[in-house]
Amino acid sequence: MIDDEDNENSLSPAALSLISDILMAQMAALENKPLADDTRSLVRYLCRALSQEQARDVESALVSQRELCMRLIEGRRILDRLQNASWSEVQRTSVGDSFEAEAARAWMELATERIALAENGWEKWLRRGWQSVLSETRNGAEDAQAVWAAFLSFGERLKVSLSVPRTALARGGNEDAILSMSVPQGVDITNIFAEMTSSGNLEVVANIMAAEDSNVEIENQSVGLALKLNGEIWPIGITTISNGLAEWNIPEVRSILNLPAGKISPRFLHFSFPVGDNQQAEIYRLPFASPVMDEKGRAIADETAEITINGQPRWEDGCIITSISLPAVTRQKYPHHHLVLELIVAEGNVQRLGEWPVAEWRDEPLALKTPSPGSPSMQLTRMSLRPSLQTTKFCPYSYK
Amino acid sequence: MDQLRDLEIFLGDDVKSAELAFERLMNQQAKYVYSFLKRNFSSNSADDHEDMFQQMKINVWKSRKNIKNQGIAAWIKFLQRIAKNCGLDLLSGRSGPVDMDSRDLTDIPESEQRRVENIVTSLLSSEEEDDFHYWADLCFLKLNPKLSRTIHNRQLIAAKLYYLKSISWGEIIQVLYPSSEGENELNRSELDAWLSDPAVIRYLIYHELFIPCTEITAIILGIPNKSTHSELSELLEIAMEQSTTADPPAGWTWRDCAVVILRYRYAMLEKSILTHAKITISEKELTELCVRSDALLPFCNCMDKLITKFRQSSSTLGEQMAADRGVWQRLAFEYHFKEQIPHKDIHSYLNAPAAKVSYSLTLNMLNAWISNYRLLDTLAAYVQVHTEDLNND
Repeated sequence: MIDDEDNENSLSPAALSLISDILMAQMAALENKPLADDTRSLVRYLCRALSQEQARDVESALVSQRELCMRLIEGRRILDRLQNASWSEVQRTSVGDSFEAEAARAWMELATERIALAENGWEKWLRRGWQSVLSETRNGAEDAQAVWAAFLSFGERLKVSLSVPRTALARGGNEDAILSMSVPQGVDITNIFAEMTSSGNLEVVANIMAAEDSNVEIENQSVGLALKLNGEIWPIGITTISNGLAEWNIPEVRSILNLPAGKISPRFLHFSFPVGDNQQAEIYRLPFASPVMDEKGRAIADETAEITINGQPRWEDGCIITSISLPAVTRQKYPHHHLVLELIVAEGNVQRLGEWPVAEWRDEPLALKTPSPGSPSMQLTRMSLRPSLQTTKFCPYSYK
Repeated sequence: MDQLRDLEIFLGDDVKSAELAFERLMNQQAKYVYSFLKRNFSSNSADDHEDMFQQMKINVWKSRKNIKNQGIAAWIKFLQRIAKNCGLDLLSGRSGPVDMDSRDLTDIPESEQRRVENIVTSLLSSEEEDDFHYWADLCFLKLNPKLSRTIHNRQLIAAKLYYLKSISWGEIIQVLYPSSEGENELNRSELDAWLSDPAVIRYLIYHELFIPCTEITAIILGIPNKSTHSELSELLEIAMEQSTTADPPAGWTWRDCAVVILRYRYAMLEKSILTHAKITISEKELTELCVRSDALLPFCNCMDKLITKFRQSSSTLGEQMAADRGVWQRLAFEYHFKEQIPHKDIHSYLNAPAAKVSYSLTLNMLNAWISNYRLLDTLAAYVQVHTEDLNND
């Protein structure tokens, strides 16, 4: 440490005078950069919807503008309220000049924007891979951020499932019964070894063989690997089959999704030929298993309920319209739960769209209609069963 | 550094390239030269400053062939000298010969010239405009130089929320942006380490006690703290306009309002206010007005609030760090170099809050720190040592 009372490297007064003149002119010319559109920037900061550089600008403003820091906390509390309200309530809140109204408008803008951009983000995911999407997310590309937020939400649910030893540990032997794959007839995937390593990677090795009587040529073919949970599939790597063996070493998966280290069951993996656009269809595979949440909104480990979505959801007059069936087993097991539909807007920021009591269902599907900021793709929506806070009315709309 | 490369091109033989480099150099330095002109010719109008700047550009271009490249420090100093000559010429109405002497480091011992150039280059080095603030924070507050400025800012935001607003650690982690690649993940133990770091606490105290002159003026007048420099300039113009029908800020006359702005925003000395052409005020009235205004200075309240908050959070480190010399040196540095207010004013702002934590800040100390260049010498040595460290890394 340098002590100003005893500086052995002192400069001469002339040298210090020169530095002083330069410093005074340069420092006097600086003015704090005001934060452009405070509330919008704060909301996007809170929703992790900025590039690292933009986030740094917000932080500089938080440091230099003393009243802004408390706004950050106030903004977080407003967002928490809005995200648990209905979309109509968000729209009502957005009217006026208050900070809450400004925050609601900024949140609405972000949600609408994300829905519009997610398709593009998903396209990037399939064409350029998840690492490219991650890199673009860090650089603030909004379409990449939209799909990345959905992936992180998937990761949270996957973490809960992996944390249960019964399912997280590979049980050994052939797990064909639970193996998920989109492969040509006559092709077998066996001896799957999958591990989340302590260094944060996902390593997967599998034997891929074509039956002798099939005409399928698999040597040097590309094969895709995806993470899978409850019918939701996220492609994460491609490799080439060599001598009947396929090996993937996907860096950072475990560290980014904060997953536990150790072997994982092949039931969380999905294999496909060929890779590319065909995988997009997988994400819409229905029916699917919905997570079941506890009263605090946390997913209960390894507990899922079957839900069927009948056809593609539609969006009309500002509302999303979905036909949902709940099989008898779900209705009997969770008679007092509610089905909750949410929109994944940004990392850790989800908008509740609607909530309906399971008890209202019979064998036939029900048409659910609820206000929504747009027509979200399936990756951006999340359905779960949970003890209720509030209920959205069933619409009289007849779903066709 | 881009400026150094442009300087080489500007002084080179290719005239077309030199013209382009010259424009870039002028664009980079324009606001600093204007700031220099405003400081040295404060009674002149913005049009005069523009004329001085344009004349300076002509003179610098004319003297291009005679300029010796001695680095950025000499270049900036050279621009300042030419700008000052142009200002003096304009005031005296003369059009003297262009001073071709560009050797602005000649007063400095040769053995120091390289060091001075390196220090100035470091202080102005990166893309960030306020590098000197950063260096001053590292040097006087002893922030960890191995951490990025982003982390220092996040530490400060976390400390503000925790100590001043009593926000829980969980909520703080929730609102801060996630760590970038290569940074530690922000969790409870990392946050605890931040909040108990003496340097972070010094940084918090400095930020709470440093109040820019525009804000001090706004607080005294009871107008919104967000008032900007230009808003205060407009208010001053209205205040000095005899015929205004608008109401002055509550509790003040328009004359008093003008005096407060001149005294606290522009740090005008009392004797200058007494002779100001547009202000009519007696010495007694001015003294009373200054006493009334000084009583509204926010520094003691800020220190009281800090002490209360530190006690509420059971932090003994807070009060200890408030009595750390580095905090007061950092404040003196900022008020001198950025706000450019007289030592006496710095002393009157800071001595009372310093006394609340038993730190004795005397006028003699401030004079030694500022007039004898102690602070600058300390900063220069710090920059030199740490730049060498960075280069060695």
